[in-house]
Amino acid sequence: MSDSPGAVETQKPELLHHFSSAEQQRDASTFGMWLFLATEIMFFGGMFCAYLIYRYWYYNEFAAGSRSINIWLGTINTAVLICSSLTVALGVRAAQMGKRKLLVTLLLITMVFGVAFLGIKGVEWYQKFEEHHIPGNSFNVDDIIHDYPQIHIDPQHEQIFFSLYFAMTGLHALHMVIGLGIFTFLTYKAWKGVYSPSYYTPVEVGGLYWHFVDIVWIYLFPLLYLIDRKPLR
Amino acid sequence: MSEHIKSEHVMSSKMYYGIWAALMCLTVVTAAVSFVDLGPLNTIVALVIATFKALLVVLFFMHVKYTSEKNDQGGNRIRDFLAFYPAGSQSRGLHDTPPQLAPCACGLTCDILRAALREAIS
Repeated sequence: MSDSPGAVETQKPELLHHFSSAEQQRDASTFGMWLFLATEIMFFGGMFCAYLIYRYWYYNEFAAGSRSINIWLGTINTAVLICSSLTVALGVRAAQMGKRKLLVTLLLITMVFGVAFLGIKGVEWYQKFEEHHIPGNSFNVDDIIHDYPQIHIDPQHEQIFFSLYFAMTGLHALHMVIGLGIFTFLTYKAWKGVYSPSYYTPVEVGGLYWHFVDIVWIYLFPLLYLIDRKPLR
Repeated sequence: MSEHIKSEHVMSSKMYYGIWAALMCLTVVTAAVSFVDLGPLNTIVALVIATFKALLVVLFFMHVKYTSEKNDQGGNRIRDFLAFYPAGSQSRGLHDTPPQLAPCACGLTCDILRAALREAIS
């Protein structure tokens, strides 16, 4: 610590005064993000838990409901999110190497993927809206009951499946919207040339958030779309 | 304090493309396998593949695998907290044993599921 505080400030304007070094500042930010992600796991965990318990109770309704949602759109959306995670990872790498234009480009591509995900999600929701599968007064699953005469389906229990489907995908979509906001901010700052190989923590931390949202979808995809796809008996 | 700030480990872009390709393949595989009737194994296969994909994202895209390899302490603390590796394997000398997220979360999840199942069966 031979540097005087003033000298440090002029050399590294991004270093806040309550940190003794840039490394400490970066570690604190990253650790804080991981802590936040841990609370996010608990946040989503409650819904996953509710889903597993209700699926155990109302297996038939959950199986029939799961088969009624569009597996192709779900798979495409999974691929879109994985591509967006790749561009985020490459973006962090570009920031590490100080490639400003590449960073801005990759952040913008990531946001295009994010918007594409939400668009496809919107198409899925619109299909459900047209089929009257949105929980509420006009909820109607006669079509699903008609499709699976071999099993007993209680419309009330079917409604629980769709409530959880919309709550979980909705909460995930909300996280995507917040992520797009964060990335808009990062893109603006990157364009202004704020980030350098010695300071790119916001890109790294924003990337962690984006990857986390990707991981939530990696679990939502099999639970909602895949595990009841086999023929019903 | 040295002027040069140690930069994070920069992974080759080839590595990122490799992880991406693996994730895409696993997505196609898990979607295809879901149509095959494996009985109760369908759920297990889907969740094992999902967990493997999540691990790839956490270890490589989120840099957990490399977080501690260049930092002496800070990175290790994060990694020990997540506990994907045995705690303290590289950070002997720290007085405090950090809390470990993975075992805590797994233990808690198991407890909740066990309680829920007991409730459901009775």
